[in-house]
Amino acid sequence: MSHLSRDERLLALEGGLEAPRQAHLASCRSCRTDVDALGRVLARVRAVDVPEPSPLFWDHLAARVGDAIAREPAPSPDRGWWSPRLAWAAVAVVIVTAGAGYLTRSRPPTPVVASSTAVSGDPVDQRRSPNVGESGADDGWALIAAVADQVADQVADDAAFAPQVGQAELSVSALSADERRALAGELAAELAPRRNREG
Amino acid sequence: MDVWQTRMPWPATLAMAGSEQQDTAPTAPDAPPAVADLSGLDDRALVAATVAGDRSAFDVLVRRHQRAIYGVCHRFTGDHADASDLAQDAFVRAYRGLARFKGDAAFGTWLHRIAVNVCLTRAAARTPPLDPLDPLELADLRGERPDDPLRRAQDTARVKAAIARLPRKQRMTVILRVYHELPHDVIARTLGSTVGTVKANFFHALQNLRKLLEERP
Repeated sequence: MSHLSRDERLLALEGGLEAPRQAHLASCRSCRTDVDALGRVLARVRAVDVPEPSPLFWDHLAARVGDAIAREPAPSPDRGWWSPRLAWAAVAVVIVTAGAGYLTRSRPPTPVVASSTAVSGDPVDQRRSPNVGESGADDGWALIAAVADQVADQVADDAAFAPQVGQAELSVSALSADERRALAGELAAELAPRRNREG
Repeated sequence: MDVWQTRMPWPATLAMAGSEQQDTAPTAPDAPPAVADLSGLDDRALVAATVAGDRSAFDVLVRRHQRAIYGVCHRFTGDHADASDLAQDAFVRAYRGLARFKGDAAFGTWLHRIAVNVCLTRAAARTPPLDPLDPLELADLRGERPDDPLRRAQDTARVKAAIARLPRKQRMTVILRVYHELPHDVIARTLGSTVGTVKANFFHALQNLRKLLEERP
């Protein structure tokens, strides 16, 4: 008769091993030695207790949690994972990322030029607004930038996700004016029904 | 007797994951309850009250579950301060996601799943302790009386050190199986795993503990 399998040795430890296999265990020195050794380990693990914290600790922990959630916005059904707002943000992320990835594959990245907001000297602004100067009065680029900016904040807020600042914007910064217009058209088509509903 | 002086039993609701049974019996009244009445509400009613804007309802949930959540975290980290931080983190994450709790499982199951994920995530971000076991913990105590308090304390420390050296999923499986006495299928749901994987992890954890506890300097 074959030795006990892994699952059978667990059953022998925790109870529930079938009678024929119990008979094998009783007669097989190798299996019995192994199961006995694991049983001794299990008994030692079970004997370990967690020290009881001070009675005051539980009030302290509850107060800490209370302080922490006081800084949180109230849990609203609108903040659910599949809320319409986040769903649209996810759609926009997919479109921006896929579009940028596809279009940039066929051409080298456009050199980054100084942006108008970079004059402020704010390094965050400089990272979040690449190539704005190049876009000029391009409405398509403005739409992409606005959506990308909105998406990054929503995703970070709602999904406890922490992308690098300006990541989405950087992804689309290498697009040419024509590519941006094409991408903006896609975005506008996707967002139009939602805006109409909200309007 | 305090549950922590013996063993932390898994809350009854967790053993009934997926059922409609609640931690406490009273039903929610139609009107928002007064603060003094909140402790009599079941978990589902407290969740609804919290989502409706009553933060004090969440405080009742925290006080109801904090021992069990802290227990999981302490068993996992072996450190009071770390366990306190992780327990707080688990409750805050639960609060943030409370609107997503649909009541398909017991609130306790859902909360423990969050705590387990917080523990595993924290462990993944940290370098596991690789220091050798304390020589004192490895002292050969076989000739001493087994009921000697010093011997018991040393053996406890040694077993804790060995558990801390387990891979994180094996460690969590041991905690949920041995200390919370969870069935394999509930552990699988809590860890987002399969029953087969849970059994394999538990078995390998015991084998690893056997090797670690048999080590000699």
